Amino acid sequence: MVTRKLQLSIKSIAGAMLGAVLLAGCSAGNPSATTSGSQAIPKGTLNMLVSSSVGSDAGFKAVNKAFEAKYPGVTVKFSSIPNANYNAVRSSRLTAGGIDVGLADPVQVPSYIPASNEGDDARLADAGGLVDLSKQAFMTNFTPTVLDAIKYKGKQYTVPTGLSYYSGVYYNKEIFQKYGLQIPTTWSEFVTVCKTLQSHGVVPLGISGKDSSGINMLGVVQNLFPTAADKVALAKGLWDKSVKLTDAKPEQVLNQVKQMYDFAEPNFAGVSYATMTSGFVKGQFAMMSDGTWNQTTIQAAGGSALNYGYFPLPSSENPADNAFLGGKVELSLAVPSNSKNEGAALAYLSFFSQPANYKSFLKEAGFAPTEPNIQLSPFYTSIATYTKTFEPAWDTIWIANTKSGAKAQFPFDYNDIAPLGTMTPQQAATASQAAWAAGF
Amino acid sequence: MTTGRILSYFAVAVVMVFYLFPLVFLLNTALKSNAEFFSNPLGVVQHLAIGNFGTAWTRGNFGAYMLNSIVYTAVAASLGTLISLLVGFPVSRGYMKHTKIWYGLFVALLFLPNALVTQFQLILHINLYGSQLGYILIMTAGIGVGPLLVSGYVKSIPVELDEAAALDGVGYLRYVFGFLPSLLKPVLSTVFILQAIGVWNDIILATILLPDQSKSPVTLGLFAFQGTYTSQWSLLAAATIIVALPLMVAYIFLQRYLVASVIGGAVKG
Amino acid sequence: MSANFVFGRRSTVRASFFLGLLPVVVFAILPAAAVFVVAMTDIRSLPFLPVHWVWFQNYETFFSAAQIGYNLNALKNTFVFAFAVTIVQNILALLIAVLLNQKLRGTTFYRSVVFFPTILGVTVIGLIWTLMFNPTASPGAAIWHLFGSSSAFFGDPNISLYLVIFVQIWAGIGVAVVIYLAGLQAIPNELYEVANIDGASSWQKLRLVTYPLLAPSVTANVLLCIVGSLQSYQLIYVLTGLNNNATQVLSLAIFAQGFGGAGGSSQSQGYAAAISVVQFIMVSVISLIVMAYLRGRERKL
Repeated sequence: MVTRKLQLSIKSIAGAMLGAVLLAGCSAGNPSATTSGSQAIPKGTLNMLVSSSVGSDAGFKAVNKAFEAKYPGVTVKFSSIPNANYNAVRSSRLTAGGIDVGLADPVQVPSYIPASNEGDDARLADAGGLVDLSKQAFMTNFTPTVLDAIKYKGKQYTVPTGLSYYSGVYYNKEIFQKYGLQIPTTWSEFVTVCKTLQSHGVVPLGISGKDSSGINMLGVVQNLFPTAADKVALAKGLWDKSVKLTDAKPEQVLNQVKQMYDFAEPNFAGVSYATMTSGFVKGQFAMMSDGTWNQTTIQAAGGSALNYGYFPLPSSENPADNAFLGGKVELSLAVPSNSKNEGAALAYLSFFSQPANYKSFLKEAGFAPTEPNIQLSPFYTSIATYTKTFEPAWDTIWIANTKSGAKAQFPFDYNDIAPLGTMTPQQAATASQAAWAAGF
Repeated sequence: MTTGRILSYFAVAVVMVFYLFPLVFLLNTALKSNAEFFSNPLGVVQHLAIGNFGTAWTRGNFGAYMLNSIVYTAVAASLGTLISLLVGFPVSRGYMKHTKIWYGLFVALLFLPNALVTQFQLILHINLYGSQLGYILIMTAGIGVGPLLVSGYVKSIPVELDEAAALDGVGYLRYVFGFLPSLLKPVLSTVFILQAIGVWNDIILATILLPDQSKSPVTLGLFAFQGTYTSQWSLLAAATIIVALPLMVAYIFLQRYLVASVIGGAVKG
Repeated sequence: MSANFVFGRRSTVRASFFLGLLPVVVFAILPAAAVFVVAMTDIRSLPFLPVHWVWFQNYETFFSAAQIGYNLNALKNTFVFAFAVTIVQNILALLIAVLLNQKLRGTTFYRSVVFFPTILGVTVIGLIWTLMFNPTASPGAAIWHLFGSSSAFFGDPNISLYLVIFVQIWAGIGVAVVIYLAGLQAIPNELYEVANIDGASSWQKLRLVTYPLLAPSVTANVLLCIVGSLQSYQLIYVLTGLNNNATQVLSLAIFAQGFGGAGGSSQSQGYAAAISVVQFIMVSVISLIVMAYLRGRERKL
């Protein structure tokens, strides 16, 4: 649920705490070897803390059940906390040593950015608070490119539980068919589709202004700066001030976001995520800017009656730029180095990584797999062309300057554009540039 | 009826609409099944889904948590009220020197900065982390406006009563615990109820200080419904009504004491 | 105020007083004081991380050019919110308390209804009003439709603050009414009887008997309200989210900075503590001024 809040560009999930000491001990004892190492039989209590979300909660519960069945000596205490309180709880439990398996997401800060902008999880990893999993045998279960994407300073601290894509839109196939519309592959085509729908009295786009308005910005940025290299260059340019937020292309981002707002349902600024989802399911709008994590919910709510698909938001005029979806690695599990039952924690991660168990998790969670050779659900099969190459989304690359003002957080200030705020795209670009510059 | 009274009833009616309508709407939502709320969020419920309360009760594990909440609230609010009395009465009478400083302290109690992090560290360092005692102690200390309310109310009890009791040989403590409570019923009930509400509705301190689910209060049961963005509104509505009910009962019970006023009689004597 | 202690030795009073105060000092006051210390560090929310003494750097950051716009906006919203809530809530609560203090039929029921929101707690109240003001389908939308328009309610930056104020007042009247009622009960009936004999009208009774004797309750309520509204953030969080410029208040900013993990500008908890201190100073100053004024009037009356 709330982990999807894209306004939080730091994925402050999980505390993976790995201690170097543990690593030494671990590699000697080879605990990740699946089942029958007599040193490796876990027992005792395993405290697990994650942030709450329907799909992943169900997935974890399924795995926990199987884990307890396999190792009767272990009791798994699973806590899933809603986002509003998650950080406070995680912080306190971590301090008290009450987490054995949790979530963490250390993001490496490039060399041209001062280390003071590191996120908390990165600092944690630096300080030795996460157990280093690099040499654990169970890590070989995962797709190497994904592991590379989440490496932190050359080490693996986290287990990637899945991938999500969110630079696209869901669309109602029946509405599209009714008006003879094709999936747009350029921005102009997208605008045309929207205008056609409007002329027939259909709301083109559903946006949840209250909870996830940032996703539109991310969708637009994704294909205006198509490759990871482009995005990194943009970030670097902003940091060394060769690029301004008031330059043509950055401001273009805000202009296109505004266009999306204009195509959205009336009063979307106050619409919650749940209302938007149910609106889409009921056919109140033709498209919905959202992420693939919502797919299981849509499926459950709409059932076989709803005929829907997902395509990348074509923010560029060049179809080749719009070929892929941007995404991120979802919840990443890690082990704190002050865990009181590290043996069980590592055994759990090992168990989780076994393809059979991992599949049972994916089935509930609705993520895309981070292990190779896993059969995709029908939905993910339908978007396989868009996910052939994994493109990281903007919020996984961008690191904000903590010294800059709040309007330069993302740094595109979509929140101030009417009707969410009171500014025009130009004004918002100027405001965020001023805020950005103030941090240097 | 005089026009005055008609007007009064009319005013009351207006107030009631503003208060009852949202509450009834909540109840209405709680009685709808998920599917019905999904298709018709606004209208009056067509098919009563009383089962929602049962589902909410089990899903939120309220049975186990209810007892915890009752214990925490009863103990913390009672102790807190006691403290408010012990501390508010003597200051109001001037029995403690430096009255102004104590009043200042009472007021300062109201706007203490949010000390979540430091309270947690304190509890952790005195080894009460995860214990119900630690949680109750923190909750007890949240007396808020209690001493101020008691001080204010005590002013309307004439000093002559104190003097009369002392002449009769009643000691201080016996006076405070034996005589005063009945005189101070309205304000003590108010203080108790105010603190009880704070303790009963606390979520954040409970999640931080009590990681063990068996010690969780009822508010944590709501987490089972809060995590979802799907149309679980009806279950959530049912769950919130369950959480609110015991406090409501307690309030109705204490209401009677709020009404009684013994002051007039005491003054006459 | 008499300082004559009539019950014999003062030691009993002192002992019971300090014994009662002890848990409050240890578990409430000390941690609060510690916040001042934390505000001078760069402590973050996770363990293992090195902590440094940064003295007043956090305060500098708060008032720095980069943050000042955001913070001033938060301050402005905080003031508007606090004053609107305090004034309107107290006037309404006083009127309702007087109304319900009469011997009408069913007053117990009316009082319970008005008090009910207080019992519900913030999350539930947020839920109710989110339902009531859902832009797509809700009673609020229906009423707006009657006037031929529609609104994004909590999403509309022009009215969201006023809607939040409305909900806060709705939620807070219950407590204020209870306190006023307790205060009204303390007014001896004889005074009303005397006033009646003198032929005073209801309005005159209200002005000359009720209001002056209610002064301590007014003080308590106004103080409570100011402090409460200056510190309240949970309701706003539930209704409009964490990063809404139109309803950003200082206390919410504290929570966002300290625990929210909002965006890339994750400051330290030391910084959040510093904002807490700023808020504390602001609240204290305002409260003391208001209190001095009210107590002065109390004495005069």
